[in-house]
Amino acid sequence: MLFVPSIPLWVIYSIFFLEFFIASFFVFSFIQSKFSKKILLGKPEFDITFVIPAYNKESLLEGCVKSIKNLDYAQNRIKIFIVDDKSTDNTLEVARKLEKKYSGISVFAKPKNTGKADTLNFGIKRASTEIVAVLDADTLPQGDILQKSLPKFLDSNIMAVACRFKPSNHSRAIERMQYVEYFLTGFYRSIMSHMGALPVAPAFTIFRREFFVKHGYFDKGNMTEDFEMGLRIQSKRGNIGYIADTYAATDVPDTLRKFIRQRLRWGYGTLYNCRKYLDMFFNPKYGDLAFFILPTWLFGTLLVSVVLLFTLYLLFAQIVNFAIKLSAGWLPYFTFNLTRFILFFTDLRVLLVIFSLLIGLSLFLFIRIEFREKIKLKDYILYIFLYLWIQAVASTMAVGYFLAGKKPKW
Amino acid sequence: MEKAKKVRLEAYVVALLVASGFFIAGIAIRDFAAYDQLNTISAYQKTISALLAVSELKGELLQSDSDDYCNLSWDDVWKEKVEIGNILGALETKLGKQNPQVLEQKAMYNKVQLSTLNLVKKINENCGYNWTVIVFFYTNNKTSELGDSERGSLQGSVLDTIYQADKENIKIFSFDAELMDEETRKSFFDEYELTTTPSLIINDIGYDRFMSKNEILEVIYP
Repeated sequence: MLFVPSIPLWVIYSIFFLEFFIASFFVFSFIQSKFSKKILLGKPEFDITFVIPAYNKESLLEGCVKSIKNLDYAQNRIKIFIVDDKSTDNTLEVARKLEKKYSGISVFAKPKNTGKADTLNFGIKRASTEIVAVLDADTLPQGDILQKSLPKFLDSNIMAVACRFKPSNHSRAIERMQYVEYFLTGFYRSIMSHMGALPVAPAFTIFRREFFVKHGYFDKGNMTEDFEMGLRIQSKRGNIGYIADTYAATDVPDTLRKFIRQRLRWGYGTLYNCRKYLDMFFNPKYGDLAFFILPTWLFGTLLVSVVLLFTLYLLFAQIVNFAIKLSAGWLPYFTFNLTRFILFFTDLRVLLVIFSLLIGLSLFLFIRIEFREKIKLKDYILYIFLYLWIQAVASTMAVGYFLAGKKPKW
Repeated sequence: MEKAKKVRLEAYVVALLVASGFFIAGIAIRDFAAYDQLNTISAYQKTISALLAVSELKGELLQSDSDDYCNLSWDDVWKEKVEIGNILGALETKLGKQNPQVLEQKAMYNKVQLSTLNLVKKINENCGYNWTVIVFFYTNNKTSELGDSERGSLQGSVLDTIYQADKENIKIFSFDAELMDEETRKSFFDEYELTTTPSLIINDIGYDRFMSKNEILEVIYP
């Protein structure tokens, strides 16, 4: 028989306690945010430059430009910079056509391919407006996004404003599970923003250009330059605002392989940037970010890997033991025994799992009402019982790459 | 941008209290159920002991009258013995094999089993039954000197399969060797030349090793 290790109860209980603690912390913070919403008066009139880094995006570029042109905002205040990162398809030609077709568009062609961060920097350095928005070519902002985001800049401490994302593709199971994830992430990010602890400036974010000038541009070669920029803003004690009641639509990986590769990069980037900003951890001048968000983020990534590896071993050991028992003549049978049934469901570990599932489900239903989104319960169930394990695989791979000092391929 | 950020102490305190609340609720439900089940076991143990005492008394008084002796309602004794075994198995999983209350109940269970074993043997001898009586010794302690706990667990599964196939005619008594009193275990081990666990006594013959299903079936149904 293979050795089946029993996890000390205190370890299991600590993990559950941490989970309840995190959930309660978020719920309490959400309630606090509901009672202390800052009302910013005024309708700011900023000039704004959209920087679109483009590498082999010929089919997506026009949709992105059109969505900017359809924004409910004075078009004479909007400039669009398309920066071609030496694409190998017709991206540059498409961009040139769009430049002729629409007003306010400038196209830049970089002499060689140097990656997204450098491409963004190329565009931002050429912008002259106070506000700069960066967005991927596959991202489509909703019409009211500027009206809702720009007032946030009336607060001088706000260096960037991010918004909620929605996958534009959601027919396959892997896409639908990401839909649920993006929806839940939107909720958590809005709370983090309220805490002044949102550490990420994702694929569509609006920046105060002054921040780049004073504190530097996107970190070239960083796998998650958006996370790094978010941490940099926080390290300078700036804030990142968040808009939850509008969104930008974006493409998400449509195959498991693409998904794992994306999450591997994200996971690696998270660890890399956590190490880069390690001095922020538990430093009181960074508030809840230092005491709650970052430690939870880092510990969560590491814990998930340990739990996954342990679970895989347990599964393997149980299968081997099952086979050994079968070969010794044991036959599985099932007889219902009420006593055993009651005892099983009143085991503290099982009760804690039930509590966790109920908390998760309640939050899901609550956020669904809050965001007025009709997400199917079956997608949420898929997300809980399948997606999180797939995510854990990518996370574990990221930890492996990080510990081995190997950078994942883009 | 040089404003220090806030650590909202109240959020940590509330989160701590709520998380503790979940644990307290869970522990309360668990303990209520476990207490209830331990009470059930206790009640069973008392009933079964009383039934056995009466049976033994009747057995002694009515040795000459085998009909009366054989009509004793030992079925109840057997069913309750099996039920105690079931509950104890579940409680072992739930509270842990080394839980003091579980160990206490198991020690009592061993005594009940010994009495039941004697009764079954008597009934078998005197009332024309042909039950197969299997006594099984195991240990749950991974570091025990009394044998291999993993093999013991495997032997338990094999015996379970054999019992499920012929419940009417097979009577199995399982003893955690570590929980038996030293004297009783030694007397069994000496009489049947056993030295380790898992080991078996099948129809009064000792087998000082793990036995596969086929080996056992060959002994039971030669």
